[in-house]
Amino acid sequence: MAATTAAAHQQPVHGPALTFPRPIFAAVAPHPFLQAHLSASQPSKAPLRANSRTAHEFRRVGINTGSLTHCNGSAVVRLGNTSAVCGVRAEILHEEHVQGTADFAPSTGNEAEEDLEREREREEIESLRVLVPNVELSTGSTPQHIPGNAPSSFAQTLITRVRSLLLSTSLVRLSDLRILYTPPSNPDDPDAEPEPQLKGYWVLYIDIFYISIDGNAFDAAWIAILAALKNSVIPHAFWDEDLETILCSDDPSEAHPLTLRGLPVPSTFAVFEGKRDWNESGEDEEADWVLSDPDAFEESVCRESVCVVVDCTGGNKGTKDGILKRLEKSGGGVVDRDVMKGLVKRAVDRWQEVETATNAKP
Amino acid sequence: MAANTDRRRINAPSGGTSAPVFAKPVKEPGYLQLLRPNRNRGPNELRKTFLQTGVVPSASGSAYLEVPTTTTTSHSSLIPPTSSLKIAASIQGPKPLPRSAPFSPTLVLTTTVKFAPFATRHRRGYIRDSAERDLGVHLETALRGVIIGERWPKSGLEVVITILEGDEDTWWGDSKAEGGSGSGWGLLNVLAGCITVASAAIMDAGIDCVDMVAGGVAAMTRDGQKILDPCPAEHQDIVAACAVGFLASRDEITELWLKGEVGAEPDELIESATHAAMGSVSVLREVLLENIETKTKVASEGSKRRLEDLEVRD
Amino acid sequence: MAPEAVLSHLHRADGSATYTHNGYCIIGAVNGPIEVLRRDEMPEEATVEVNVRPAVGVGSPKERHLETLLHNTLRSVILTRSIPRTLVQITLQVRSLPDEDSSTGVSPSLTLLPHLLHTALLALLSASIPLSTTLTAVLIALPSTNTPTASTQLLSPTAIELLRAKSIRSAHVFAFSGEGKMLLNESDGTFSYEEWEEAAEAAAEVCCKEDGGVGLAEGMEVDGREGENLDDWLRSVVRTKVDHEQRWKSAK
Repeated sequence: MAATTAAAHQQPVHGPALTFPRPIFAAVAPHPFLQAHLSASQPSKAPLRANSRTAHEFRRVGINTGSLTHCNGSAVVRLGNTSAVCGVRAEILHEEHVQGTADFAPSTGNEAEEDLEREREREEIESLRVLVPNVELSTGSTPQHIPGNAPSSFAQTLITRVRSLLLSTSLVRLSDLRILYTPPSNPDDPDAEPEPQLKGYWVLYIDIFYISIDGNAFDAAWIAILAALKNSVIPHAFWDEDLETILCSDDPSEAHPLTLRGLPVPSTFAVFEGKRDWNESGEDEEADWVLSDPDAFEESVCRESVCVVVDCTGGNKGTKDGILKRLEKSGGGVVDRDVMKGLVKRAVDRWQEVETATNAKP
Repeated sequence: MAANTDRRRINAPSGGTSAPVFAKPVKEPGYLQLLRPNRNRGPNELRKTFLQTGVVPSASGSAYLEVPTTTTTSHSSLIPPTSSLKIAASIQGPKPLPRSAPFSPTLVLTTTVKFAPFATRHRRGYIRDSAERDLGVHLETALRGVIIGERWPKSGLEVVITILEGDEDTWWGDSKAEGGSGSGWGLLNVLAGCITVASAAIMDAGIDCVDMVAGGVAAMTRDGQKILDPCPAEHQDIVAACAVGFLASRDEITELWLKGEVGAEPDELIESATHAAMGSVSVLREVLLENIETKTKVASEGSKRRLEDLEVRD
Repeated sequence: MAPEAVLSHLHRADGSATYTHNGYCIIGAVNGPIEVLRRDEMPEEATVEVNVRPAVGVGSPKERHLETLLHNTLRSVILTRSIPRTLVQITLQVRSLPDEDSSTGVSPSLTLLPHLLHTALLALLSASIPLSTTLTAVLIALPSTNTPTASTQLLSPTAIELLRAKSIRSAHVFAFSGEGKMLLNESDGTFSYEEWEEAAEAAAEVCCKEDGGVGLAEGMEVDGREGENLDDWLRSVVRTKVDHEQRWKSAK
């Protein structure tokens, strides 16, 4: 890389140079390896990471939907060498099996109470547990996750984040999951509007299987869920009075797709803290880099990470618009308010890319 | 139905859920038979196989196998008529055995087979069940005879198979009428797929083997006819089936799984299964050549790249 | 009300703290530096292990998530490189939660997180683990704009306040180091960048504004002085403890 020539120029009389092949340099000294890449100064172009992306560059998203036979919706998502399969399966929770009270109040349709309505719906989805996401990493996807062990702390953290984002964004509407039954109107009192009764719920099992993990497992999982849910078709379910059970129609024209609320897209960043004494020439030199969409090698070197979830559905992209759905940052103190502003902008740009990819027809 | 709570995963509603029941097959008896899939290929004709290596870059070897369904999916019903077969394999190692493990003069092979919850018509659990363990043992037998284990003393090799979609035992309409499946024809297909895909992944990992092992399945119908590569949903009258792990150039069998009423002549059925395995062998050969070509290409590019190596100074 | 803290009251642990604030009560214990399992040993730094135990029942993925957040944050605070090849074990037992905690409309992880961070830090101080800095954390909630309490940030709200302000549009947890660097942020809900920035500013003031900072509620009283920030509160807790340990000196 360019570092060789640059370094050789600056310090021509500095003992015998040690040269390693790239993979050995990366394994022996991962931190200096990445720093050497990022600080390689070539005036004509931006410094590249070890994976030959620029610091701001995300990996291209590849989405393939509907390939699994036994799922209501499915998607395979690729982010470079990270690939995940998501399958959505709908099963029925019968009303008599609902734990606790399932009080069904039809929506008032009042605009002003929309927030409250969503809040109530979120709580209902959470308490009924009609969304069941799970991840599986022990598929030989990484050397760290060997099958036969219980889900690791990493897997449990991942699934908690996925679940809480599913709930807090109210992505799935409860109205899509309710199975209602309107009894025929009473012959004695034909004017009385029959009240719809709740007979059960669709429960969505959302399973993510990683084929391969090379960093940024969260973004891959979430984009896979988005694509799979968008692809999902729920059969028309109705209450059969003769059999006194819920039956479904296998007619595809009667089935309905899920209507999702918006399109929240996560962007994960890793903060690489350079060693400041590595290059003593300039003191105020930029020594920290915020890398978009880190791969597994970068994740192993970086400690601080940031995840920004934005939803720009409707075209709002300004700093005053309520487009942020979630911000997560931990592990260090490099990203402050100013840096975060830049990251939100990068996340908005990423949203556009992912939106195009999810809407593209295969 | 009520699953025990798993404190490391997200749990389903404690009341339990049930798969949707479709109205038309229940209410109109004639409708069900309309949905029955039929075999539209000859008895000796195999399904097309798609095989690819190198799908998991962080693993030492990996492969993905897909056998698409031959039945055209009907657009008038949401019920899928048949399954396809989709299996991913990943190899970790050879790597040193943990300190606690006893000394082993040969390579210690561990095979894990897991169905994804969405792999079959009935949702699978997250913990491995007996069928999955069974498949793992059969696969291990198939592979152990091929790998030259003496070359890796004190080492372990992990073969991880994920079944994203698996063949069914019978057509779903029949299994419901008989009150459950249990014939296990589908498992044989899955095993043959596992053997082929694991073989490709081992080849990708560059583990020394005496030959390439390939999987094949044959079945016998009630009238004694042999059919290669059966899709159990397309047949009503299978009485016996057999899966083999076959070494083509040595004409040897490392694994044999035979089920059902074979009659007096099991050899013929086994012979047919090896014929089916020959189909997998030809696919494996192609993939092997492709694999070597790309690897040599990468190697020659790598030597060029060494000129640009980074430098460390003390 | 200012948080209450009792330090070094568990005699079998190297360091301990019980922390009570707004109905949340957490016991923290720290053991370290102790011997590390060979599997977890790191040649150049200490291993940090965090265990969070819920008030009721056994742990779930939610607790593992909290542990990961605490682990990442505390690892950047503890001087792990000065005690390499050792283990610092932090155990946090939630003793009680306010009754309304589950119905506030804010994720229970977020309401609990600042308290867990404070408890962990106090226990680390009590165990005299070398730290690069201190840390303080606060929860900020923004109520829905449709409600009468519009555009008022709720600083470190109690569960009842959250319940009354329902619905909450967004909730934010910030943690700052002693030097005012933002160490952790978890924000959830729907919000704009500007709202977030205002919340971050308010949080920084509550946590560590040098002087003239806005205190928590009016009732906050530390050493008889009002209008202190959380950083001063932390100092006063430590000061009290040191005074207590030095009493053999003064009791001549």
